[in-house]
Amino acid sequence: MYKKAHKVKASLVFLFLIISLAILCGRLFFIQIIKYDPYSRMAADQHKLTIPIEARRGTIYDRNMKEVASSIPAYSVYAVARDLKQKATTARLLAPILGLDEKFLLDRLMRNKPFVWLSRKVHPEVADQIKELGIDEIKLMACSRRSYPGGELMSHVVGFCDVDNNGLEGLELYYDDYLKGAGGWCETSRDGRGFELAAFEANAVVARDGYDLVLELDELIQHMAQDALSKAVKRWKANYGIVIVMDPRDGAILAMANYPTFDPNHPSSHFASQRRNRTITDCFEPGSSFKIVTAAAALEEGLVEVSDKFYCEEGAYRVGGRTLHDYRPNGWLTFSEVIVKSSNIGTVKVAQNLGKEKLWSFAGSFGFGRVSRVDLPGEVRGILRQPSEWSKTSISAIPMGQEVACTALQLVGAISCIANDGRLMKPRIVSRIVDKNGELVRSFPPEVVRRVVTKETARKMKDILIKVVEEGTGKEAGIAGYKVAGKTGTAQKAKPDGSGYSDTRFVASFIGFAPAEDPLFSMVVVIDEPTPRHFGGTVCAPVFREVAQGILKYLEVKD
Amino acid sequence: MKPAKFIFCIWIIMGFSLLYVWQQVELVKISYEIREAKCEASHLLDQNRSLRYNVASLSSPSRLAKEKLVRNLGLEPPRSLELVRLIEITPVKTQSNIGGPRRRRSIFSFLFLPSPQAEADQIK
Repeated sequence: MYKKAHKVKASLVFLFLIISLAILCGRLFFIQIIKYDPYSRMAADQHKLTIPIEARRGTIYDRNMKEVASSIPAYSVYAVARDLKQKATTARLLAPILGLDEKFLLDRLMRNKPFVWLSRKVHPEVADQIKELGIDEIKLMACSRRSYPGGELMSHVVGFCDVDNNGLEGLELYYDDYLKGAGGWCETSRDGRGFELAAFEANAVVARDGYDLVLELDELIQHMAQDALSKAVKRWKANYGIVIVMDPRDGAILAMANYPTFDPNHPSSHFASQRRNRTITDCFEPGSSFKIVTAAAALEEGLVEVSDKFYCEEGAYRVGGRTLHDYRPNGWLTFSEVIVKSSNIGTVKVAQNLGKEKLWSFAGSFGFGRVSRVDLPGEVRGILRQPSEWSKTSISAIPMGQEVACTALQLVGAISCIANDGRLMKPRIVSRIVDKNGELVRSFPPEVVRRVVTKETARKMKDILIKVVEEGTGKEAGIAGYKVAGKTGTAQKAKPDGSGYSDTRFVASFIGFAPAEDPLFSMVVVIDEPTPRHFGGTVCAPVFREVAQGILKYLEVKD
Repeated sequence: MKPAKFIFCIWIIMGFSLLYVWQQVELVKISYEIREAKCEASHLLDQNRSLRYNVASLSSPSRLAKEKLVRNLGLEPPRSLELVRLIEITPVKTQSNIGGPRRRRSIFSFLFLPSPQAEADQIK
């Protein structure tokens, strides 16, 4: 009896356990099989963590691997304004640290939002001070800030970035795709507090840091050019000034200076006109500097010899219904003297022999009226009208650099062509693009655009241009112990109402190269509306001399 | 199955289970170490970038030229106790001091000075 009752009890317990197990298995089947998708998704959301990996923007170096633009650590400050209790006190505490107006901060904190920016890209020291306040609702986000250690130096070439590190101007814009890199992400697990568990990393896409740019520009030459230019623009109370230094042998731009300039660390505190790279965006009438084109074309076509004589009409010559004047009256001058003394009448007579078609063709070959394809955004082509569009007076204006407009880069390209034995080189700002390990990604080798004149013509032009500096209008550019070649230019500016040329507003320029026998660099100096003097030989030639002296010393060129 | 064999199996299973748990705990510990090392590496890299930036900034030709100019004028950078930083204090606008801070006036000032309203207009 006892045994039977015991057996029944045992059976009941066993049955209970079987039923319980069956329920449990059923529940497990329901969770694991039927509801697998939503529950597994929920679990993944709780455990998995996807971390975005920011790509570091590439650094820009000068030719000596000196940093010109780099990304440095910074923090962005935001508030969980909705949860913040003591808004007024917080605003009062943060205002002096962030250097912002207390009222502005309070206005931001009063917004009933979970995320409000307070300040972007602050210095790590500022971030430390904020951390010390210990306000939980004020949070910091690590990021990087684009900074330019040289400040104003090279600002027009390098450009600048916006707050999200996207290039907006200059090389930062032109090479943005190379510089910005590609962000990545990694998928891993997180603990109960939300911290990353790196050992459980499942998937990852590695971020590719931006490539670095190595420029052809030299920081020291740039400084010499910038310094001499700013002094000259201030001295002559001019609107603006430009200096470009180029290596004529390979088209490498060694310096590209503008004045007025701006600090790319604070671009918004400067006018747009200050931020414009005028060397490629502004065109002007070059004046007598353009005579090198007329002279080279005539020599190349064999129409003149250096010793041929031209009568310069004692300073007044009527052509195309207008009277042309020379600054100083001249009688008979050799072709060489026409250029050395910068005679307008002599040059026009040479151009009349040459004809407008040939002159236009050579001007185009020297790079006028065409973009140089320099690796900078915003380059303009200038103005070089087709011969069919020329007026009756054009043949008396274009040979001496009026009715034609060019950029300073085109002008330095033309003089470099003479210095480089008649070969026009493509101007180059960037030498190469490398990755973070220094491996070459892309290189920019020197590129010959075309041969414009023969070596013989270029040699003759060099001899004439040496005389310009030794005994002509460019004496102020001469450097003791060195042979310098160059040409001055003084162009009247067109009146804004289109009623001819102004007698008081000029663009002064000087183009040249040194050492003349074996040129290492060529240079253009342009100064807009200098006063009280306005001649290229007086205003720009001394700038050329100052910069050239510095470069010759820097490059250790022997006398 | 003999009880001894059964207990041995249980021990083996338990041993493997504990090994698995220990392994997971170690993984979590290593994860924290990796996280700390990553933070440290990132901090050091940031510091390196900042220092390189400072070197580039301090050796920039324009800065050196300014420094040279200052030294040529016989000026020197201030020493620690020679530098006084003035903190800019933004005056708090209250109802009483709108129109500029209140100044003490002499008894006869009304003869020579314009009214407070006119004074505020002048400042504006």
